[in-house]
Amino acid sequence: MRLYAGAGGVMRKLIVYALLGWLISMLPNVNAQAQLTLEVEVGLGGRFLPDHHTPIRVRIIYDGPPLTGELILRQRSQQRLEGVRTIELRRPVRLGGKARPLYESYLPLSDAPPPGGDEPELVAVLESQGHKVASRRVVLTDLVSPEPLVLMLSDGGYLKVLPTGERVISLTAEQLPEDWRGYAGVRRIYLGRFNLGLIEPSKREALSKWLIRGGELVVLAGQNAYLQDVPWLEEILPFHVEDVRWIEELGAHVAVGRGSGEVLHSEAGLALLLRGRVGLGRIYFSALDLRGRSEAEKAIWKALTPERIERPRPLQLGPELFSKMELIYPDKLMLGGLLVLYLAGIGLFSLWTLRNPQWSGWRVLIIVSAWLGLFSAGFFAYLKRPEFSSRVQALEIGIIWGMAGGDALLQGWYSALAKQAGSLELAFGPDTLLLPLGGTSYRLRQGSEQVLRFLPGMEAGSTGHLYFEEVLPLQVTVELGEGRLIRVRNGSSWPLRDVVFWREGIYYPLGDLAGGGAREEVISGLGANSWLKADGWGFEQQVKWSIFKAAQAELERLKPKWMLLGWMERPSLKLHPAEDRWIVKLLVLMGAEGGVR
Amino acid sequence: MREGLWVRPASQAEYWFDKTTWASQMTFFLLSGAVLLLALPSSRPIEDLTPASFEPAGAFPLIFVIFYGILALALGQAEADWRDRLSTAGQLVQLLGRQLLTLAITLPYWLILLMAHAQSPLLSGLVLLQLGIYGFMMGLFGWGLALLARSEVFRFNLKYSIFILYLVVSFLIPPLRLLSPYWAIVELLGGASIGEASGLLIQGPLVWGGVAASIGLWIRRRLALS
Repeated sequence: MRLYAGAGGVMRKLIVYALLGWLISMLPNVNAQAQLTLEVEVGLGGRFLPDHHTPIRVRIIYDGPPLTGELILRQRSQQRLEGVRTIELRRPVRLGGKARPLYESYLPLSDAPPPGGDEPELVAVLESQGHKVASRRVVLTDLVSPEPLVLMLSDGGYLKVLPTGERVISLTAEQLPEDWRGYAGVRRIYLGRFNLGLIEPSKREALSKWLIRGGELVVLAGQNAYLQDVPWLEEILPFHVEDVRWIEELGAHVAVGRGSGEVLHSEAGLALLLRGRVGLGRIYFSALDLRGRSEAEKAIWKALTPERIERPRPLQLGPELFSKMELIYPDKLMLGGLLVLYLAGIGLFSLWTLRNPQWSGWRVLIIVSAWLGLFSAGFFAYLKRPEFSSRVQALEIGIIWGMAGGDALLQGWYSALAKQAGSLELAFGPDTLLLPLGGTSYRLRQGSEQVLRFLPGMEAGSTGHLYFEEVLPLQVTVELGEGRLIRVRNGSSWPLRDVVFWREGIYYPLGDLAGGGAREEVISGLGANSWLKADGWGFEQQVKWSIFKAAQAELERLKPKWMLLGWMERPSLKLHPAEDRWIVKLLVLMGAEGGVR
Repeated sequence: MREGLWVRPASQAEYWFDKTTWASQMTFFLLSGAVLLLALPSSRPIEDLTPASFEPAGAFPLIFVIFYGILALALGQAEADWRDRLSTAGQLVQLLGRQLLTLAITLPYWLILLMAHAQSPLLSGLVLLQLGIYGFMMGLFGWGLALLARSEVFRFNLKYSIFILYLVVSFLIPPLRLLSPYWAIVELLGGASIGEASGLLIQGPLVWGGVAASIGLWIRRRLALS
């Protein structure tokens, strides 16, 4: 009887534990029944340029017990030639009480529908303990913009379609992205009656980085000049405003002062439209606010009309060069020679033991083992080289664009080939813009740094390609001294190789410059008409030549007065032990062009 | 070497290499080495690679398994000549020792194959261990045949018929693939998961070990009776 009662007690305990276990396992479902809604907003003013990073704002409206989990943004798209591409971003979330946190993320959304679907879509999911607790599907069809976006920052006074033919999207300060990646699909921003001084520093920083990356900022001054009087803008404007005056001849209020940029239009003895450069970007200053319809304003609008041809990004440079890269296998001739030597030793020794019976037993074993050990160690030492032993063969190339006295923009390409099945995780900076090329899929985990799960579930032989951009502090400086003296300082920890200084079509070689090193040289008349040597067209030379050619196309547009060129092997994506990566980046440090600061 | 293994502890000559099997051993080393070199891929641009370029190099393991099986049979058969000099236990130790020495000499081959395909060199130890058990089973089978049949022709026909039948059947019939030494190696080289690899590494060698133990016991009893 006691035994029975004891067994019943155990049973009761088991039932209680089972119930508790069940309750714990149901916790996410309890959360699901709490009030939880996802509000998703895609793009800038509801528009986005496909395959360019765009802001995605997710507001989580939550009322319930504390909840931790992950917010997942996922898009699957059927690419025309490259198959299905999946991009996914995960970021941790922590909710509690009546929370309404807003999360802003950036993804290069595609306008292609998912496999089996009709319309492009984005799915936002909130997961907790591996369970889906809320999700939201956003159809993107009506949000797609066929052209790069043009933004207007002004509290009214301008039409939706400007005289330049540009269709503008008006944004408020709250709608501005917090990160420069949010502007990736934006070509130009007009700044009208808008106080830049009131926006958050992170948003101002984002604008600044976008400009360096190649954006165009048009400042419409006139009567707006008072609102635009902020130190950040003052530093980069090609015009210093001293006063705003009514000019009868022009029939408008005109910002007057000192210009330092290229004058594109002048009238009545006043520079009315000027252009300057910030990094790869351009900044325009209009002395009029362009809200009227005078002849001067028409002329300025005409000068502001963008060129028809958009500046293409050379996205395929990385994949093209990677396809020419050799996958290195051990040298058969060398291995064959060593194997013949090895077998000859075994053969001769064993033959010798047959003719010399006193050589037997342990002595044979010891000598064979020593011979085997010697050759095995030799083969091991040769074969453990990264080009053979790595699971992934990768290539990272890039161009570092720097303007003297400013930040630098890095345009880079990363390509990888999986020699073995598996996956590769790469870490990189938190504000690196990353674009998958072709059918490349990736999963991104966002925290203090971004961790990229590249080619998830890759099979042996699969390849993946990324394009990335990064704004870096420029650590290489050039000072032009008296006469033909130049001082070059490499403040980075990476050596700068094969450095040349270019001016007026002549390349002056400076040799290699170690990390942290500095050099003073007097540029003599003995320069060269070209930089890269045409001899020995190996893969390295081909890559360097192609990168330089790609840079030259941009340099023709930028027309620098002088340049410093050199090669760097600085990785942007953290090196993974499983990969063998070949890195080469061209540093282009430009001096201001004639007439433009 | 323990003294107790010897019937006549006179000469240990030809213990590791003997005149009967020396040529077979050298042929095995040379042929498998040549096949390895031929099977190794050459450096080439990534654009010229095809999915087939990344398939496990199957030619070398196939040739190795066949040649090594034949050599193991020959080494086993040669044990019949050692009856006067070694005890049965001594002969078993010698057969195992010679199989393992032959395999150990091919260690550089496996290092080359695995490391050239970005595989861990430690896998070569697993492959050799597995092949060692397979070779011991084959050696005992050859020895058993030498004791069973006196006719050389009959022995030859029976030996190769059973050997070929075993390799073909164990490779072609999926449920029996765990018993195929070739299949196990190709799966290992192809990046089998830990679970799959442990199945291959345990089940096949366990069966081979069982067969080897049975043949060994039979040989012992047969020698004791005679």
